[in-house]
Amino acid sequence: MSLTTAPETTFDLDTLSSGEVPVLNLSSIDAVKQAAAQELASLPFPTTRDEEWRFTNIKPIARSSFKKARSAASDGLTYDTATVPEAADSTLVFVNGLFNESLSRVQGLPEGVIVTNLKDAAIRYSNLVEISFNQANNFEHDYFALLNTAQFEDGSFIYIPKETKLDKTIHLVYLTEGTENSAAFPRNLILADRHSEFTVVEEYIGSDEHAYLTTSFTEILLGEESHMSHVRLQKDGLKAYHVNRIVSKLQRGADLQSYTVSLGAEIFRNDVRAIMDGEGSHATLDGLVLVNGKQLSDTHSIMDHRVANCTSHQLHKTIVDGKATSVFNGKIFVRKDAQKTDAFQENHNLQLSRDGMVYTKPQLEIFADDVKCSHGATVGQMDLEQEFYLKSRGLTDAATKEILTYGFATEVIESLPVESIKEDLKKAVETYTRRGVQNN
Amino acid sequence: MSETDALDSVVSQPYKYGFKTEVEYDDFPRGLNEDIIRMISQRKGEPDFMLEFRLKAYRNWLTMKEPTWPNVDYPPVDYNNIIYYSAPKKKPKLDSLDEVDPAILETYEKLGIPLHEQKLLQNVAVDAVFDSVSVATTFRAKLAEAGVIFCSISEAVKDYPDLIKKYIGSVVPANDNYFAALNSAVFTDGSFCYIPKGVACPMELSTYFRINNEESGQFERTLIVAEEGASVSYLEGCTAPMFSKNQLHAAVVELVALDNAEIKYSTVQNWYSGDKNGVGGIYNFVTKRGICRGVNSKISWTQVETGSAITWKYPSVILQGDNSIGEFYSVAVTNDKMQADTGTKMIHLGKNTRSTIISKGISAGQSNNSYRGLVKIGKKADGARNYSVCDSMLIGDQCGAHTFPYIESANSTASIEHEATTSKIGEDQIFYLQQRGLDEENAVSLIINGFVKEVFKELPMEFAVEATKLLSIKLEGSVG
Amino acid sequence: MLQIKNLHASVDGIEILKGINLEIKAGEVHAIMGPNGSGKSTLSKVVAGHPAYEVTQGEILFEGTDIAELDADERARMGIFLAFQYPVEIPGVSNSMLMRQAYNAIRREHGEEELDPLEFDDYVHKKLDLVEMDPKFLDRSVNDGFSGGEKKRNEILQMAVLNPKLALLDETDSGLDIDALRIVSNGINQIKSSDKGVMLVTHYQRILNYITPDYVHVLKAGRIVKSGGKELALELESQGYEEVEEIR
Repeated sequence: MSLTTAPETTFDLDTLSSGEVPVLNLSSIDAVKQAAAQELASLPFPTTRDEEWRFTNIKPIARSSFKKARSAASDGLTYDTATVPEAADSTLVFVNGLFNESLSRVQGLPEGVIVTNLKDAAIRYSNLVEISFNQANNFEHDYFALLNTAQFEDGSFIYIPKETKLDKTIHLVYLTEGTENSAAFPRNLILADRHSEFTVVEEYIGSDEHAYLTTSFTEILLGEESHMSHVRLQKDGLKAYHVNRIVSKLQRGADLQSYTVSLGAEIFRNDVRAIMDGEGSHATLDGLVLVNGKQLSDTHSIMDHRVANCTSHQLHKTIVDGKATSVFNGKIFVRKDAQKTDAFQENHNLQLSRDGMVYTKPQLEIFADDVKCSHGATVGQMDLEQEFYLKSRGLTDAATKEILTYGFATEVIESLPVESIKEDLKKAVETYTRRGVQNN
Repeated sequence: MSETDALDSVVSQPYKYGFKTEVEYDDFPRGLNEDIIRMISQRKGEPDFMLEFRLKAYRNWLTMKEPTWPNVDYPPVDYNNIIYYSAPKKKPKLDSLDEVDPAILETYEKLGIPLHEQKLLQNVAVDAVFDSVSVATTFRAKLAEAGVIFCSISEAVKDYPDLIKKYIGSVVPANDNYFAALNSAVFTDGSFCYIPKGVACPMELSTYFRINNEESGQFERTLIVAEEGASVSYLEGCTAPMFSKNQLHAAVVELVALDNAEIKYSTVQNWYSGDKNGVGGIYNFVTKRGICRGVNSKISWTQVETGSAITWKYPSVILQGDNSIGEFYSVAVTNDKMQADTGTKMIHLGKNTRSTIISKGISAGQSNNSYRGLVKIGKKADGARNYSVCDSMLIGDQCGAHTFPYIESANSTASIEHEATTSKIGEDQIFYLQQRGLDEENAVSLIINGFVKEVFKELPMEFAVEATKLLSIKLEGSVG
Repeated sequence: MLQIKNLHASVDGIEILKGINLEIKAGEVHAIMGPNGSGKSTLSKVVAGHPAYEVTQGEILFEGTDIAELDADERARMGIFLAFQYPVEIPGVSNSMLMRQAYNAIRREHGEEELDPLEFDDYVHKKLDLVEMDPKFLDRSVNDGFSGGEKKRNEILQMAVLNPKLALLDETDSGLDIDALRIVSNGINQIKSSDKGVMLVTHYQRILNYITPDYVHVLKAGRIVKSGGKELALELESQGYEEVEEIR
């Protein structure tokens, strides 16, 4: 397969939303892309006057100009797939949104398992791509969903056949390097047939030097009784803008364990939605957000209970330091027929600095009567009792704060399914915590 | 001469623009314009500053849009088809209760309202045993002794213009929101309470005594001021069903608590909610807000909302004074096709301010019941604390319960805790109680009373008793 | 007092009881034993009138009246009490309020005058000693935040207060430590009398060391497969349920 070469153009989002639409060469999908581009052309850029963007001012994104990457040439870039040993032979690497075959390594997968880039899949597995594309998406009229749909050129494609248990972790790495103000629009499709079991780690990495934009979109379709563990790591550079979307649709008895950990980017917006579309399905959507400096991190989540007897669980934690802002809006929808729903959501926010801002809006929308739904939210400092307890054991103030902050964050990390990622993140949390404690 | 002084000198001239008459007015023509507002102000004999206040509000209102964010749905209101002023008419005097609609009497009976009170409510000529006039008089004398001012806002505008000028619109500015602006332009009457420094109001104040023989206004305006160290408990509304002819009710209530003052405001709202099919019923669009202006002050809202076709109401507290306390206790019941979007805002500005929110929503029939709340911690609100609990209960599978709590914290020393649950009355709970010998209806009402207990215990005793009965009437037949 | 004739009952269309015959006379204690899933808890719920269970065949006669179609509260007021295996928590409803309302409902049924809260308070305090319960439990919400043992004791307290004719004790012994078991059994023994019937549903023989049954029935797959005197319980204890032969 050949690497894509797109003309280098500078654009702002306005010209982009009315500009040319890259094709995937799969007619049904290209039609969706065209339709998305058309709708986008008449759609205003979201502002804080829109309820969904009330606390997240993305004017800086609108004001910037971006360049689409020319090619995925690595420019001397390296990526060692052994960084995550669990995925040494099952890693796809993208550079500035485009697939980089030479840095990727996929081999020795069980029969029938497909892990490749979307452009390739569109040619070789057009049927699978067509049945999974845009199936779960019902973010109508959403600017960034449409932008990604219209503008994506490539992304990852994963297919797990029925009754297949994959021991290896599939690692999807998205690097942004070298190019100033680059824009990337990765689109990922994950399709799991019934009774399959697998783990996917999506990781976004970039440098602090340049501003760049990532508008990503991952669609997940889980067949009956399938189990997926999903980890999404956002370790973008501190000048980056990142708007992401994950939509999962679960069939009968499917089980999704999803963890989103967000450390980087100047402005990060994450929309996560799990659709319980088959009875007995379960979704866990946990999140950890660590922000500092002038970072803004916004998580919007929806647990969409459409049918009866499903369960969902969500633990979302944020730590805010410096002049950073954290936004959380977690909705639980229980539709009319979704009786016996059991949904629980927890959101805890730790404010380390005086200048941070926390906005949280947990939301319940219940249209069925025989349900058990609850949410809890807290905003505040460390528990004074815990603090006293540790100090009474002789710990210094700094050590106490460090331990408690670390403990607060690691509750989410502890349940991550991939050991090396877990260790890596613990170090990241430690660095963040130490810096936080020293500065405050 | 400063502007304020100039205004003062104008308003202190007696009845320059007004006149007083006992003659009943005709209703004004339908519609709203500046002339109508001038006429309202003139008929009420208001001083200039009040007219200016109204006109400014009206001009603001013209530029505003009716809010669409509440989770309610209703046909557009034609604001030009409303009569904005009809003089406070006496209700027709009846000779006996026999002349009253039996349906109303039946409801009274269920509520257990004593006969003499029923007569009062229906303005039946009362006998010597219970004379409303003498009650009102005794009542006033006792208040006057304590220095408490309690009168209609129209009287207050004329008799205490300085106080009104100082406080009206100081908590809910005339341009605060669409309905508040409308109210500020056209409000007809309401209550004014002023509790002087250091006075604990000797009795619970209630609108009941004052307006029992008038139709309470469609655009009611209430202002309560508690000076330093003063305290008052105010009861609004009436547990009896009010078959008001007005479709739209846009009231404004403002509370001001100065240093160490305390205001407790309790409401039981049971306006007509329309029939089973959602035809008719009141649109209740109310702006209620209190400000804890002084240190250690406290404002507490308790509401039991069982009526109105549509409720749009967020009794709020601005916690400005250090150590001030805001409370909101609410039970909102919706049945049939009712829609309620209600909750509170707690705005923490001062240090060590504390707020508590306890909200219980019960949805039955095909109704929708939303809690919408905001807890906002300002930058300087060191040590602020909030605790919120929002529980919803669904009865039947045709209704909806929604929870929209907004939390915004700009201070790292604040602590906010919010919990919400949604559940139904468990079949197991009902069976357990039935097994102990209670019939199903009793079992359900016992469980519901348990559900709302935390809020009802905040109500003054008589109110709590009647609210309990009201609740069971409201939910009658919705289970099973 | 209680006559069960060829009782079939099902839940969600699945038949659990498949022809139960049982007679309990006043003054008698019957122990119903059996392995998990044999239908013994179902039997007590069906007699008490749990709405989830449907009687598809047979009769339940209580003092000669067929009660199979009656609501649970009507049966309760006739004098049937079920001590729940898992007592339900009812937040916000105080224990004393529930018991007073229930007690007065039964008094009303019998044309007796209701007790006012003060009179009832005196009455209920006398019963507290039976189960060695602290009066503070009266003001707490029904079973809310109670430990397992407290819940079971609370059931027996309610039974003592309501003074039923027929007591159905559904695994009242499960989850109790020795002390709690002694207290609960004591309570039951003191309430027991010549005009009352007791149906004791249990998985273990343990409680029968404290409460002596007149009859023991073994339930298996929805049928009574063996009946006998108290010695049958000991036999079960040593042999296990698997060994019990089916009679039919």
